[in-house]
Amino acid sequence: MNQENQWRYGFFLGCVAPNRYPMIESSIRAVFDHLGAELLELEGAACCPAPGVFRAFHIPSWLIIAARNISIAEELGVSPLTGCNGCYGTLRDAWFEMEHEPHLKKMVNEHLAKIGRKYKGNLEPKHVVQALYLDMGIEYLRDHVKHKFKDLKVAVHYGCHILKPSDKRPWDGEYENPTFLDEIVELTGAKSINYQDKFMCCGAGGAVRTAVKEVSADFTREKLANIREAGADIIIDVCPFCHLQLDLGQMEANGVYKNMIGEPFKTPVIYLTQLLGLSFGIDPNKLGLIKNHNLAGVPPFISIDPFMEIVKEQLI
Amino acid sequence: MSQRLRKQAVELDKNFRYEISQKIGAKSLLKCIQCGVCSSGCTVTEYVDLQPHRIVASCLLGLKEEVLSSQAIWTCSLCHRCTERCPKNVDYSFILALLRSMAAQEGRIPKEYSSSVITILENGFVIPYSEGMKKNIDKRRARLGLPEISGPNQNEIEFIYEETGLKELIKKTEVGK
Repeated sequence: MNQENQWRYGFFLGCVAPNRYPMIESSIRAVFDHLGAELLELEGAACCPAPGVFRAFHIPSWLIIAARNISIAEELGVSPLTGCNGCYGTLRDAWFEMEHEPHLKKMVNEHLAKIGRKYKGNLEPKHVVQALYLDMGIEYLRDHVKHKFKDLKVAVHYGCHILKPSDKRPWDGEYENPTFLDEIVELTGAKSINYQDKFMCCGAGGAVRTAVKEVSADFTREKLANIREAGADIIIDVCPFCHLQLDLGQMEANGVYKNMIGEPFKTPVIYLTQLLGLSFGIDPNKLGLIKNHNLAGVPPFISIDPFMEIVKEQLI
Repeated sequence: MSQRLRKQAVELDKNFRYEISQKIGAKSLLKCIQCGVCSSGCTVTEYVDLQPHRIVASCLLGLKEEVLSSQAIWTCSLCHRCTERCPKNVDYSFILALLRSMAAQEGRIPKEYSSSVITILENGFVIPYSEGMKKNIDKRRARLGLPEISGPNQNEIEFIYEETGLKELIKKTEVGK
C-alpha cells in the first residue's frame, strides 16, 4: 500500500478549533498535507458530543451522537481524526465501549437506522498526535525537519483525555510518565522542560470551566504559575479546549488573581502542529501564526509576538 | 460537609449501591476499600464538599440524597486520575458521570449543563458560532483559506434527542428550576 492510501483520515473538527482557534485547524491541515497524509471532510459532523456536559446529562444520547459522527468517517472508509482531547475522549471511549458491549452497539444502531445511518465500529478514532507518532513515526517526522530552534524552552501540556482512561488509549497503559509528545517537540530543537505537576489538568474539562468557573480559574492559575516558574518561553498543547483554557485563562488569572500572581502572565500558547510546521519550513501564515491583530475579544488572547521574535532570530 | 451526619439504618437507601453497580461499567463500585488514593490525587480535592472516597462510601452506605444533592458531583474535571490510580480498579470517573446522569434524571442539574445540551440541539455545536463572533471567525477562516463551517443536519440531532427521551428530560429540568 502506498503512503497516500495509508494515511487518509476523516478530519473531525469539533467545536473549539473551527469556531475559536481556526489557526489550530489550519496548522493541522498544513502539516498533514506536508507529510503526505490526506484529510477528508466529514460532512454533517456535529459536536462530539462534549464528554463532561453531555455524557453527564444523558449517557445513551451521548453514545448515539458519537456513533453518528464516527459513522460519517466510516462511510468514507477512514478513521475519524481529531486534534482535540475532548473529542478524542468521546469518540474513542464510545468506540471502545461499543466494541466491548455488543448490546450497546445494537441499541445505537436501532436509533441510527431511523435516520438512515449505520455504525460499524471497524475504524478506530485517532488523535492527531497518535497519527503523527504511531502511524507515521518519529523517524518519518525527523526526515521532514528543515530548521531547528537553538534555544527554545517549551512547557509541554499533554492534557488528560489523550492519555486517560489508559486502557482505552494506544499508549501501552502509560499515563503518568509518557514521553511521546516531548519527543515530537524536541525534534524541532526545542527543549521540553520539566515543571511541577506537569500532568495536571488544564482546568477546563468536565464542564468545570462552564459550570464552576472559580474552581477552574484557580487550578489553571496554579498550572500557569508552575510553568512560568520553570522558565518556559512557550506552552505547547494538543487540545483546543486546553488551548483556550491556557490562553484565555492567563487573561482571567491576570484579572482575578492580580494580587496573588505578581507580574501578569504572558506565556504564548502554541499548538503542536504550529511548532512542528515551522520546523518543517511551512509558511507561518499557513500555520495560523499571523501577526497579532486588532480584533478585540477573539483569540489568541495572549500575544504570540514574543514567540515570533524567537522564530525570527533562530529559524530564519 | 464537615458536620456529623446522623441517620437511622431505616433512613438509608440500601438499594442505592446496586442501582449504580448494575449499570454497565459501574460494577466496580462494590470493590472500594476506602484507601483514599482517589482523593489524594484528585485535581479538585480541595474544592469539593465530599471527596471522591467519601462519595463512594456514601453510595455504599445508601446516602442517596446526600450524594445526588452534593456539589461534588458537579465539580469534577474528568481528569481520570482517580480511576487510573485505584488499586481496586474502581472506575470512579465513570461512576461520577453516572451519578450526574442520575441527578439529571430527577431534574437536578446545574443550568450550565442543560443550556450546553440545548445549544447542541439548536446549533449542532457546543461552542456557539453566531453574531459578532461569527463575523470575526468567518473573516479569519477566509484569510486562512479554510472551508466554511457546515453544521450537521439539525433534524437528525433533534430526532435523536426525541427518540432517546432527552428532549423530555430537558423539559423536566427546565420545569424543575
